[in-house]
Amino acid sequence: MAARKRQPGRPAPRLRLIRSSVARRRGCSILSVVDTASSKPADIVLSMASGQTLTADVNPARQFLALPPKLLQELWRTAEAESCGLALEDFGPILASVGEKLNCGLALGTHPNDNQRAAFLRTLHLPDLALAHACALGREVAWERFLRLYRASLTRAAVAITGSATLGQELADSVYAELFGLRTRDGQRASPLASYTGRGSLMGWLRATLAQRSVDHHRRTHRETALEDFDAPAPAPAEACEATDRLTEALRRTFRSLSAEDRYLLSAYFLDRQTLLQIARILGVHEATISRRLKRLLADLRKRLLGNLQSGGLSKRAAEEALGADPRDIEINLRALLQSSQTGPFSDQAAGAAAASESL
Amino acid sequence: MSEVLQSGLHPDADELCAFVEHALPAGERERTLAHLSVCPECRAVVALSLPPVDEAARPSREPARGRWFSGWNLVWSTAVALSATILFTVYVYRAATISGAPAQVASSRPAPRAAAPAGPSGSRESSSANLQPISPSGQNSQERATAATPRSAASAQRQQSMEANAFMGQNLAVSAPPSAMEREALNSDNMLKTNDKATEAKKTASTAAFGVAGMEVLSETQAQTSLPPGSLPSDRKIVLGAANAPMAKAAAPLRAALPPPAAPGTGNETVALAGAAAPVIVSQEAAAAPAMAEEPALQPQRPEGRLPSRLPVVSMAAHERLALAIDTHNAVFVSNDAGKHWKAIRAPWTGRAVTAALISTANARAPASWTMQTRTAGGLFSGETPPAGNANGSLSGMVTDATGAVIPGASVVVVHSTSRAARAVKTDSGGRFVVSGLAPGAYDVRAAAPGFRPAQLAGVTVAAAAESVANLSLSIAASTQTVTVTTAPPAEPMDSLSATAKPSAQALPGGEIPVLFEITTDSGEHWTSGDGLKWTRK
Repeated sequence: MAARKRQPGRPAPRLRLIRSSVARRRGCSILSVVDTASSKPADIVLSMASGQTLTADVNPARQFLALPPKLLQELWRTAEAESCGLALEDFGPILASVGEKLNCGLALGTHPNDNQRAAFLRTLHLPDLALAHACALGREVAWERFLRLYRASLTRAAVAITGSATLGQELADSVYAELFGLRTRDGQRASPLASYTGRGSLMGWLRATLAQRSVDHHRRTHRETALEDFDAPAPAPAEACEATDRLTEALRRTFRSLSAEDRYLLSAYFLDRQTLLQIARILGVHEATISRRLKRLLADLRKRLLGNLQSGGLSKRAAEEALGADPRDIEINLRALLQSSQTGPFSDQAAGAAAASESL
Repeated sequence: MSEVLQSGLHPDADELCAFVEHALPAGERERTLAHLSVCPECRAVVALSLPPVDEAARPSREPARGRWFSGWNLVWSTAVALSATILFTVYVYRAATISGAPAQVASSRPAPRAAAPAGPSGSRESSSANLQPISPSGQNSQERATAATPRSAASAQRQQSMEANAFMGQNLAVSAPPSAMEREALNSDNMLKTNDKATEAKKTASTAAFGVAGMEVLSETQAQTSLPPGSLPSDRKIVLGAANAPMAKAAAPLRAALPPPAAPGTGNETVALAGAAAPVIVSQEAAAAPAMAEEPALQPQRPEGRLPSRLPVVSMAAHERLALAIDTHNAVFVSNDAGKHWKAIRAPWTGRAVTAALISTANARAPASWTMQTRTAGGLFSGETPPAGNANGSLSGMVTDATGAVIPGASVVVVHSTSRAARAVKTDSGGRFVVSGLAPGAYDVRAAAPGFRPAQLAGVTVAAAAESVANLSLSIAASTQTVTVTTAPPAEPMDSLSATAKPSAQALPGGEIPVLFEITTDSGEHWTSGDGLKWTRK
């Protein structure tokens, strides 16, 4: 690997963290650099513990995946990439970057062998992947096909998300313009389609993108109301303060001990007021299962809360009394408690999870 | 770019989409869930990016709807099997009801021609297309099984009664499947018309030419007659054709005396025949009985009406309107209306009936192979009186081979006994021939076909306005014998000119049916009956 200093004139590429645990163990972090506009592999930047930064030209298609020609040919045929205007040599790097990005669906830090690689690549939505990346590369044939297949459903989905025909049309148009790469980043057209990896369907990806843009738009336009949630609670009476603090501390500890799915369940059901059906569809289980799990979860929560209160110095009776207090009398921002039970940016969580999985 | 989309802070669309579609690996899913539990925006994104409910629910509903009946592909196969069964049933039913024997038409067999056609007839026959002198092949004929039944049917009614005629015409064990019979009837209609035209033509033609032609041909044939003695039953009366030679010669000077066909009723013959109140049954003994005794029984026949058992007919005998049939189950049926309605008869015999035949009472010992019957109007069938005004008679018949199969294309020459005026016709595809417009009188009928010995039937009486029947049977040209059968009215001399024909030995009492039905069983018994109902063992 020929390492060299990062040239100052080069545009700042979009960074994506990979193999952070390995890097951390060696005292440096390895950042792969993927040019999102062309989806071609760029440099690898080594940020050393000493603060020195090294950049290396790496071709992931060569380094990560020397795909057997037979497999590549087969995947290329399955993806119908030719009809999207993607040649075999265009498709190889795309597969390579996807495999590199997702580490072939394996836990971070493990190195996939050839069989795992082939199996992972076969599970992808290959036609969607080829179409999306061909569109990102600006192939006319691919865009025609994309329009034919997705333009109508994109508008429908936007209307369904916004709940209004005009807003939906507006949203769909803006997302379509964005996909087409009207936004430029550092002088280059950047299409979000290049970030599509083919794990889910392209329609699902489009729907998620629409939802993101919609939520983003809503957040920007309703910033004032959204901030209310983050207001500090009103000053509590002095005598209630101690009990509240104890209860808050117990709640925080209890929430923290819950699993991610349970916390998601509580948030979605109680904070977002999602229906049992919605949660069931997101989690991929039956409605009744969600209902039972919620019931069990609440009982368990109460038990744990009691235990936490007792461990905080309260007698059992006092703890039950504290729980039995009228919630209207207690000034606790449960929302903030539940939301802040695990903080930090998503990448840090990912790093933590990766570290946890590697330590196992 | 909003901070929602900022990498590192929130999962990107790709990850959320994979999460919603449950495509994330377990570790990544856990991570995403952990983020979702604290990030209301991403929860909202996930909730919004769910596919619509109807899309998700659609696949689960459709199979439920079609569950109660999912066997449409079975319906097709069932329908195919059902139709195949129906077709098979129809086929079997038809195969069971249609007679197994196909129409039997005797084909002319190659036979050595001993002599070239005699008689310088080429120039003379040009006057009429139908005039064809017999071209004798130099072989003698053996004659048997002809019957002439002059039926007093008006010529206007002929076409209507033709079908019945076709059935009754073969009242003596002549086997022909029904299809052949119907065809024959149709052909007879056509032939009738052509013959009428021929009659017109004949009126303009010289009758002398006919007479000379016929006479010469006949004379030459008779000159070559020889008879091998071993081939004929000894109890038959055989009248050699040589006896006809003087008759033919005698007829030659008399042909000028033949009354013109357009003026019937003035000639002696017509008067004699019309005045003959008593039926004149002329029976003659013919050869070829051994062949007939076995073979007709094997020829399946079909009446017009179907048997009640709906089985093919094994053997059938018919006489006038009375018919007797044996089906493949050896059941015996009798019909009084020419086969339209059948009645099963209880068998007095012990074995199974095998053969139905007709025998003549005059010759009751041998199964019937005869013949010829001539009846005048007002005789047996008094209902069939000839309508006045039509003085010409006609002669029809059928030419068959020894097995009873019809011979199409056989030459038939009808020669007036006295005037020697001859008319020649050919049999149609059903083996039938019709000569109409004949002056009443006695006629000699000759038939010849390549590969067969010519046969002659002498003394067929044609009455005015009546149709006579003369059936001829030709045997295969294997030997060189000829038998000429002459008939003459037994009761009264019909004509002085027919005196050369010897009268038959048996003179039957008038009004009595001269034939009997005979049933032969498989045990060899012979049962006879006059009406098909009362049977007596012979």
